[in-house]
Amino acid sequence: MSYAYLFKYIIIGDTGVGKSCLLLQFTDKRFQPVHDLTIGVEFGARMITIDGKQIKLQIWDTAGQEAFRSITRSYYRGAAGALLVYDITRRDTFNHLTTWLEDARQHSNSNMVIMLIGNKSDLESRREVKKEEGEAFAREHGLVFMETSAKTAANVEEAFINTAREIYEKIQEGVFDINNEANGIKLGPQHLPSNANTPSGGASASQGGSCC
Amino acid sequence: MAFFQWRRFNFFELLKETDNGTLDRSFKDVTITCSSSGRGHLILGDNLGLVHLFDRQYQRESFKAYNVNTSHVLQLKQSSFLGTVGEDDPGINPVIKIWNLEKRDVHGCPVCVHLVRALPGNRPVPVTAFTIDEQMHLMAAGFADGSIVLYRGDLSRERHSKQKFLQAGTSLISGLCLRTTQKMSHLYVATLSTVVMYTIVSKDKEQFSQLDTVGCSPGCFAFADSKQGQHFMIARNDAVYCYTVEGRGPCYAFEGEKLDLHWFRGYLIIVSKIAGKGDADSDKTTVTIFDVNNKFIAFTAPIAKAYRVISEWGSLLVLTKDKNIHQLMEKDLHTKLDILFKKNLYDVAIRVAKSQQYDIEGLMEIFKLYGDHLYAKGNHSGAMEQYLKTIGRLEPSYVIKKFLDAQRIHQLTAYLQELHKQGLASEDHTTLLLNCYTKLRDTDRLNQFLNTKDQRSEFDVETAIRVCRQAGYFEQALRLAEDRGKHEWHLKILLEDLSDYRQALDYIQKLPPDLAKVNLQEYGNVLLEELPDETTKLLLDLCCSKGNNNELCDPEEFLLLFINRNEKLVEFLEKVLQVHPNSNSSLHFALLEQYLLMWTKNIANPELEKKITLLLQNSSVLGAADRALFLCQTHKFRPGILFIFEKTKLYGELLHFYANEHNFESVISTCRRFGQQEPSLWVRALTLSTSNDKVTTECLAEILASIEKHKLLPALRVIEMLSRSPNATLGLARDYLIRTLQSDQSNISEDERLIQQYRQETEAVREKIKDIKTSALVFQGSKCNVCNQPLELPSVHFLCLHSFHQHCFDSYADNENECPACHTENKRILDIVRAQEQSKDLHEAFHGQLEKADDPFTVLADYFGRGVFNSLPSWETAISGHQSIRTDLSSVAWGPQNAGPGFEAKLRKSEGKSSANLTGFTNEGRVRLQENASIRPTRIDVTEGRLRNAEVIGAVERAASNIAAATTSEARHRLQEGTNAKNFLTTPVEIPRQTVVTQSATSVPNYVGAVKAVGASGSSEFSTSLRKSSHLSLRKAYGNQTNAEPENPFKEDTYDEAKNPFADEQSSNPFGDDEDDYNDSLNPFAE
Ligand SMILES: Nc1nc2c(ncn2[C@@H]2O[C@H](COP(=O)(O)OP(=O)(O)OP(=O)(O)O)[C@@H](O)[C@H]2O)c(=O)[nH]1
Ligand SMILES: [Mg+2]
Repeated sequence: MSYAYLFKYIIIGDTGVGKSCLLLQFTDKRFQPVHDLTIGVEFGARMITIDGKQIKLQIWDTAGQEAFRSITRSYYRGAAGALLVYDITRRDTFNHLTTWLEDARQHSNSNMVIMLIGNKSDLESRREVKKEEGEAFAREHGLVFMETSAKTAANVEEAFINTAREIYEKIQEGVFDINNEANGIKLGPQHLPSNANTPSGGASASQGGSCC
Repeated sequence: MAFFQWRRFNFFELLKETDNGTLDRSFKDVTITCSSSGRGHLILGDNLGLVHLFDRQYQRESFKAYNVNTSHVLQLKQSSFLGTVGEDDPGINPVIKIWNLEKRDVHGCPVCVHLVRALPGNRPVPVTAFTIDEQMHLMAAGFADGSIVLYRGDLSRERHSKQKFLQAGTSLISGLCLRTTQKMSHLYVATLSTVVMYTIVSKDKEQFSQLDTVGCSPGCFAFADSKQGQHFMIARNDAVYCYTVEGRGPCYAFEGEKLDLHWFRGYLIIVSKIAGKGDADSDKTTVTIFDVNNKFIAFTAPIAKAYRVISEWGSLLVLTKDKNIHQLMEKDLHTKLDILFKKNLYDVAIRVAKSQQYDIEGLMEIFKLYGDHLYAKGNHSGAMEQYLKTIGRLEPSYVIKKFLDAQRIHQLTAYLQELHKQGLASEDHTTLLLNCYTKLRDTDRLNQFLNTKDQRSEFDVETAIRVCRQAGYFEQALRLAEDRGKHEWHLKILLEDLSDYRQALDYIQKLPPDLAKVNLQEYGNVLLEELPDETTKLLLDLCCSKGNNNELCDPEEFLLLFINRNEKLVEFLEKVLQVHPNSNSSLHFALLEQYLLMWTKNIANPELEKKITLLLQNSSVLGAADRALFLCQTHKFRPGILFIFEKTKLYGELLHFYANEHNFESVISTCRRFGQQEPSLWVRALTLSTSNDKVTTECLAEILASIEKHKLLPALRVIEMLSRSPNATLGLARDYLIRTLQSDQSNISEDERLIQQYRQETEAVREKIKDIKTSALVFQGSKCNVCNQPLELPSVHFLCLHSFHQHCFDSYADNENECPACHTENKRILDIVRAQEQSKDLHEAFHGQLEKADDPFTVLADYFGRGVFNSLPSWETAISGHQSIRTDLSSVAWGPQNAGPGFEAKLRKSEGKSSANLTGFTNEGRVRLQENASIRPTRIDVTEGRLRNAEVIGAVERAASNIAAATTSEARHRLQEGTNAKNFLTTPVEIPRQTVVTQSATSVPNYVGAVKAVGASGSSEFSTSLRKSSHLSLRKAYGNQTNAEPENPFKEDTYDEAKNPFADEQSSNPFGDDEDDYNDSLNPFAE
């Protein structure tokens, strides 16, 4: 499948906040009630459309457990977007956000778009973290905020797509250097040659590239 | 440790030392340097340059591959080629060899098909990694200095290949892997410090890409080929990292120093050192098997000194440093599932079953178990989620019952909905689902469900409508009925639930006529009740709409609807008949009935009377006049009754009707009007008037006059009837009687005169016969009757006055006793007589016929004609009785207006005498012939009998004709032929003794009664008495007979003139007319 851009995402947050579930809901549109710990890093991909452009999202779902931190850290680099997830029913996961944020800022490139997500919004009765608190935290740290539910799929699409839109806008603004893969952005196969073949120019440029 | 947080199961069975020490014995003093497997063999290389192949039974086969040492072996999976790397000379560059294991040389060793030096530069470097592409077009060797040589070419055939030198870095190449996917190959390279990839696009072009900046130790890599994609995996101390062509993939954290990594059917097998603190020697190792997709550990166990895992023979083989082989056998799916079920890990079970392509039934069973488990735990929605997946296999009632009992309507609804979606719902399910919706008051979902146009989620519409109606969702029910064309339901709802008659009517109006008809028949009653005008109009439109040329409805089918709504019925029928005047008669009658009903209520309505009369004139009403008459009579509609009587020519009834009203003026006028067509009306009028005391004498007089004029009744009968009348006077009848008696008197005298005349004539004939018999006869014939030439001697003469030349006679005559001119005719009659004999005694047939016959008289006459009453003796015996035969001929002839009556009497008389009435003619003729035979010389005498015979035959034929004429033309026909003429034939034979004037009978066609032979005294008495009695008595006798009662044909009864077949017109008797009918000239013997 061809795409205009490829964005790399990373999902981070404490264990059990529902990172894997969010990914599964986004890629497979299903919910997994049993907690399968992520040991290491899992991987998912899906195609979305923004501004009429096909964009492939490559998503790393990292293990939240402290023990895996060293492994997962190596994945921060080369991510254009990050979903920082906490569980609205567990205050400690919210309290850990600062640590996660520091870690992310430290190991990723500075332009990385970070979306703060308060997950399990379906469990309103067990809520421990108010929505306003999440909003406040996001405002404070310059993040985008959203409450989601991986179970009911509420806001899941939006979370991923809004992040992509943010990245896309940053590309349009020229904030991202799209030719540096370490930024977590890659041009699609048919877009690469147009840069390489600029001298030949003209209409044939876009199609002629792929032959070599 | 945090690492074993995936669930752990024991899905593999460890079989220790399955080689039974073979390996230990085989490699006593040598080191195993490398290993591979494939195509049924475990392949090991050693430090002496040998390659060993073990089969499943550990039978070893070895061959010398190198002189010094074998460092790498690689068995291809798809072909029988084996790649090796080793040293033939110490210190010189290693050599790569490719062997074809299927081809053997003279020593039985595999043939080396390709040989190439592994030389990355100009100095010898040890090979640390080696790979061959399965398609055998690419091969790569990695060296300790980080260089790689890529070989291109057909490795299975060409002895040489193109080499390409690549430099992946400076650190030792620890792993190489070549994969080809459609025209593109990838060479994954793992070094101690990096992971890179070369994309080999065309002949000599490679694209380099760096996948990671960390590497792995030698051998710690694997290639995973699974549904989740292709991954090049390397193991480092902290985790196993995966790479795809696009870069980094997932990673699995697993701490420990890795010795080997292996991929086998979706399992990742890791051989690692147990991280013991301090004594980290290589002896303490563990083997762990990960199910990466399902995220659990399928097996883990410490296996001492393990260093390598290879897969062969459907299992995993663990090689240990102490030259042992342990086998890991995967447990079968059922065992695995059982383990999972015991732990209630149904979701894992489902994943495992799915990944192993478990069959649908099995999966359904797991879903059900899972559902049951969740249900038991009280997780109803979770349970339902599982049960939903069982739809199609699991009996729905199982699930429905569970949720019905628990009153879990929401889940139940979901289940039922799914059932419908999959088209598996039954009527009950539909009912239940709709009940759920209505119970939940979930109108939106209900509407959605009802409106779904999805073909699969078809449900039983009628059930749905029923449930909706019950729950009061009329609107939905109505819409559903309309959408699905359930017109009856639609109307039912409109009429019974919503009482919206107008809409119902509108709806019917829109239906196609055939459906409209059916529905109107069903609901027309109610609609007529509520909206009489509109409904009638609709019915009319249906029955006689002008615009569309649809098939019109039969108005008859709607008649029932109008019960108790007479005015509408009249309106309806009038309009229908106006448009279709030729409709079925039942419509007319229905209208007639309605009119008559109205008429009885409102008698003095001339308009109505006019309408009725008009209707009565309709041909279809007149076609069933009896019905119309019945209707008119029950409603006492006089004009109608009269009209019908007249139209149907029931004048007699008309007379009765008037007579009952004592309206004799009308009786007379009716007789006058129709008397011409039906003269018997007068007789009836007489009967009626004689039994009624209101009749006037003028009327009676007129009746009598007419009766007399048309000779409708015999006088005696008239008198008899008048005598019964209470107010008929003698004066009234006197003139009539006088006139009648006078004419009778003259008839009688005429008869007597004729009898006298016949008697005289008979006498004359008798004389003549006597003459012939006794006196001489002069033959004066001058011409031969054959040749018509003047007679010459010798000649032959017959008494019939035929004369012949002797030679002419000889040449024509069959028999010298017979006249050839008369012979044919005589013979014919004789043949007929003979034929008669055969059928004369069939009494049973006669009785049968008599009983069945419509007109027994005809049968009787027929048999009478056949001579059934004669006992016909044989020719010979008759001779003796010749003298005593006494025939009393009853030759009958009667005129048209009074024919018949005498016949029966005659018949009976002749029956009584039949025994005596023997055949005379032939017998006598015979006798004569015999007599004559003796007096042959006088030929004249010989033929005397013949002459008489001939004469008599002529007479008889005529007599027969007359009798026949009196019976039936059929009988007559036969009689004329003579077939049944025996009875009459017999009679004239008696001429010499008792003369019967038969011939003359024909000349008195109008004579009443019988012409009696009077030869015998007894019979003359009879005839006298007969003569004396008026023909009235004869008529009486006949009347008895015509009563058509076979058991007693003579029982006394009134005589019905109309039924007398002989009382017809004169012309109807072709033989009774006059004698012209009989052509004399046709009879050659009639003089
Ligand atoms: N009710 C509810 N449960 C959720 C939701 N998201 C996740 N869960 C549950 O939370 C548990 C953990 O979810 P995971 O997605 O495996 O957690 P994780 O963040 O990936 O955890 P690690 O892999 O250990 O980092 C599971 O049992 C899920 O069923 C949600 O939105 N609502
Ligand atoms: Mg996870």
